[in-house]
Amino acid sequence: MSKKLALILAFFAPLLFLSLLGLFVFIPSNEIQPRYDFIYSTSSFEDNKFYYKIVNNKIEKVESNCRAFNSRPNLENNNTQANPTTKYCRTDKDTQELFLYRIGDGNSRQVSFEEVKNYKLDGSEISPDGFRLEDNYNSSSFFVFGSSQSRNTLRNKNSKKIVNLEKNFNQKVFGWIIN
Amino acid sequence: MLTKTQFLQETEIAGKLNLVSKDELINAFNSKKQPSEILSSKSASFDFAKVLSLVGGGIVFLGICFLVGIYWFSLGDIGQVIVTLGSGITAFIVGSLLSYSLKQKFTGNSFHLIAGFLIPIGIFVWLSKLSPSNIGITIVASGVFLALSIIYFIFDFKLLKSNLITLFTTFYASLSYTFMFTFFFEKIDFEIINDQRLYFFASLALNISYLMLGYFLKYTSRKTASSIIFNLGFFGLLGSLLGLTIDRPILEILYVFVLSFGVYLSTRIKSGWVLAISIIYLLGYIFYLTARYFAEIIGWPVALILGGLLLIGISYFAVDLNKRFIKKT
Repeated sequence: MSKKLALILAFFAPLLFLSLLGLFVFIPSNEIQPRYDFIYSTSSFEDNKFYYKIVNNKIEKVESNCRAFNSRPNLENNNTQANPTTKYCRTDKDTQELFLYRIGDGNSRQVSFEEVKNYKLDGSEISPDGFRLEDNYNSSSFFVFGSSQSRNTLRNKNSKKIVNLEKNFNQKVFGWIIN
Repeated sequence: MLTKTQFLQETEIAGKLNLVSKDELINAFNSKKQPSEILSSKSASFDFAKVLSLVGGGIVFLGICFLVGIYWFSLGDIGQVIVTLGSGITAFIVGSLLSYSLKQKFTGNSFHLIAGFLIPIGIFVWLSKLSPSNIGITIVASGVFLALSIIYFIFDFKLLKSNLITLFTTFYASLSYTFMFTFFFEKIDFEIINDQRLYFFASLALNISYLMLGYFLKYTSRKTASSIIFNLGFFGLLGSLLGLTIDRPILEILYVFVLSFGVYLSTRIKSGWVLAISIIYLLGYIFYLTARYFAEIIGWPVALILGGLLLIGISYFAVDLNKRFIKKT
């Protein structure tokens, strides 16, 4: 191989890849647009003193049977022994945090219990138009060393759309807003 | 080899600059050492000085990090940028002056080493202060590192002709590529292919570029940079190809041909590094396949024994290959 060709390839390979990738920025993804906004949570019902559930398409506040996080015995202090049968809440936050994701503008924000009470919700895992929220956590070798990326996608049988949610590894759909 | 006239001229200059004394010259003439001994001792001291000067640069860099770390929050925004980016640029100028004007290449390299790490840190600090809202931080970072790699490239090819500067040019260009990739990756709001595969393709393109650049640099005076970039590229290439084969049984089988080609290539270009990298991947590949497909069938203990035996066989093969085709020449 000539050295000139090698130099051309050295520049051409990354440029070609970036150009191809850049093309996809301009390809519209309207065909795979999900229709339902949704409420999601970043903690499960076991984590907080109070959690929420959906009864008859409406949100309700429920008290968990876990003991307050702050009442945990201090294990570093040997005077107190932890009771293995006692269940403690996993966070010191009193209630579960909820977020609203708007499909239209692709934005996510925290919402209060009072605001969510106004919505009619579908509590199933799959939206009425067949989309499911997935967390694709990837760790791969890039730039010789390592790189990792976590992206949430709404996926149905044939397509998927990337959604930007609050950074957390435990996002779960609480309910799809059906009106 | 110098001609007699050149030698006398060089000696005259060295004498005037007090680089060598009359006694040292007489001692050199009276030396009983064989020419080969002199050459080998010269190259040893040469490398040692080089390593020492680079280690010195690394220690200065660490010292700056600790010193800046202590006073970081009391420096303020502008102070933080000046102390990182400003120091980096100053170190680069000092390094370039030493290397180019004063012909003190080793000492210059120490300053370039400090600059090479301080400048990107300074750029990150500066960008974090700017935090542009309308245009993404990734595209700005990509542009800045591209500009930096072009500046380094110009200095390298026009003035300094240094292995270290070539390595930093490549490093900055790679950072620019990585940020540009991240920019597009964040902009595209649907999944083209599995994210992980996209990462491996990005890595593949970059490592092909490293291989080609390493090959090109072989024909220049930057032999060390050529070797580092080529081997890094080869290591990354095998890694990204392995990543692309995962969960694709046919590609997993075909990967063995890639590794065989790696071993063949090592004998063709007589590179012990290429052989070592291919063998490391071959061992990893065998353990991966054993764990994935055979561990449940034959059981873990038997799989381990077979894996170990294969390891011994392959290492024997590698040593033999190295002796016969690589070290021999």
